[in-house]
Amino acid sequence: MKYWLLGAACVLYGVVVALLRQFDPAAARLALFAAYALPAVAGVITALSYGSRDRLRWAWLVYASGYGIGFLGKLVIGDLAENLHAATSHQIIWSLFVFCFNACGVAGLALFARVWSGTGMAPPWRRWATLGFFVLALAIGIPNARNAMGLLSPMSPIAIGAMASVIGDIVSITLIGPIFATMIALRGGVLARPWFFLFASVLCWLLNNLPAVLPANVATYYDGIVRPAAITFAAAAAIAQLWVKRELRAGLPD
Amino acid sequence: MGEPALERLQKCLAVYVGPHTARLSLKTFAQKHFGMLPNQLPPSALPDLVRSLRPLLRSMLGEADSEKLSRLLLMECEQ
Repeated sequence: MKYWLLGAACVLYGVVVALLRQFDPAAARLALFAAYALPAVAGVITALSYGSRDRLRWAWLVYASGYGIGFLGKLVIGDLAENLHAATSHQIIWSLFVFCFNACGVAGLALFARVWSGTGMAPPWRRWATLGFFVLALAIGIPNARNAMGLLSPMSPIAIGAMASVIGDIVSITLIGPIFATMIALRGGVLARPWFFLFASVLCWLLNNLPAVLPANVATYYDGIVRPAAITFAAAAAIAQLWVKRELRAGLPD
Repeated sequence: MGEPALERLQKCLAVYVGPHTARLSLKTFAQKHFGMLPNQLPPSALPDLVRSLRPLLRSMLGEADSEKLSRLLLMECEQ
């Protein structure tokens, strides 16, 4: 039951941010930026529940660091729309934050995707799932890259950050494949729960990339819900992982 | 007569990794380490089968919790 409530809270957060955008944009901005702190804190706490030799410790730590950088970036420099006509130095700082956020996200997801390596088994169709999401990543990423280059002057600092974001998104969407395969392989077991939320998060990030291929009037409403949901689902994944580990510890012999 | 040890083991493992991965992992490691299907294994081979699951459990749960789960699975084999 608590896992359902956790999922519902993520969707509700997205809906509240979308509604705030209509009635109180300043509050919506604050709620969106604050959301980045949630997976950062939850991810670090979850990482510390693993030992130093455990792969998932580093996956959670790197993934959480990405959101921590994202939060700091939003506090220091703001969102893309706020920096489109800012001074070059601001654009460089914005691009650096975006690069680090995407690099940590990709590295974290790559570590999650490698959870089966060295175990002696893996879902047999994992590679096909990865290939499928790579094709999808290209189908979304190429129009996004064209869109970004159309709006921004090429080689401007902000365009470099935007391109880093597009490339990061392509790799991240590709890495949804192994995460999806893991979630399906573990279905019916308690360990599937954090993977479900992680999948929901990366799926929302994928949907967040769709506006470039969607009609503009649809994209405006949709972005307000999808991005906060993606961020809060990442926090929910870390919380679910922590809950699952605590429940296991309570039920297992010392 | 009680439930066979292999079924108890599979059910216990399924609580954590799900029925599909529980069945597949026991089959994979039984074939890899003993060259036979899990239901062809003698009961005395089950603890070794559980030990072969350790890398999988360690990757999913971390070292400390996977050791606890391994102990629980070994207890299921011995009952």
